[in-house]
Amino acid sequence: MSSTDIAATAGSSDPAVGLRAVASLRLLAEQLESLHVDRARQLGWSWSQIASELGVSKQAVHQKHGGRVSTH
Amino acid sequence: MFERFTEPSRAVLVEAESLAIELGSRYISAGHLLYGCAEGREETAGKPLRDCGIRAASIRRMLPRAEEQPAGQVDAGALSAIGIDYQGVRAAVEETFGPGALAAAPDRRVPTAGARKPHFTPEAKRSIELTLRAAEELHQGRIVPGHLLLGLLRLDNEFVWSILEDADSSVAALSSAVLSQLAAAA
Repeated sequence: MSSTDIAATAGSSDPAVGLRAVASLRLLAEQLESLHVDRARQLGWSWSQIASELGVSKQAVHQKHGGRVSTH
Repeated sequence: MFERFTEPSRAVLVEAESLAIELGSRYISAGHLLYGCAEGREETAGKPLRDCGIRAASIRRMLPRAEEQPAGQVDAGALSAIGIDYQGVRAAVEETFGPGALAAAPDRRVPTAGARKPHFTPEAKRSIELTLRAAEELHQGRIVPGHLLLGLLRLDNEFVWSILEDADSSVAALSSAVLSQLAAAA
């Protein structure tokens, strides 16, 4: 039985499935953030612009993603 | 041991630690401490470093960054149970970022504080010992950033040397600049 089948039969009423979905959503959001921030930087966006779209402070986004992207 | 440290020298240690965490290092090295010295706006370490053209930003660029860990596994089954089609998300992402982009994308959350607080490397510890000794020799009771910088300069550390070399400076030149700042501050 694959994890998809288990989830389908257990449904979201099973706390374990619900909790795993939450953890997966967080991870997915983090991965999407990394991809989009790196791309925005490569396209020449400033940290302020990125921070404003993400709804976080410029310092927070720079500390988390700064120095990782080569902007050549 | 740190009770004799003034506020600015504590700030050097804090800066060194935050940079180590930011770069994903499990250790605070001599290089992180040197960055902390250069980051400070004060006279005994920050000024001599600035005067010979050594900036915190350039030290930072020379420090290694830990390789990014591949992110954990998303549970597609659990997501589908709450109505999210992970395959659909992946397909949309791959349209912009290319095949395999989502699976390879890093998770940059900082590990929970405390769980992985970085420790001093043996060399960094040794530089703190040399710092205390330098202050003792100068009969200066309070440890200021200049003493920390002297400790690093007396360390025979390759990273410190390479930073000095890039700035066309030397251990002797920087040491004497620090000593005169310390004499002026005392």
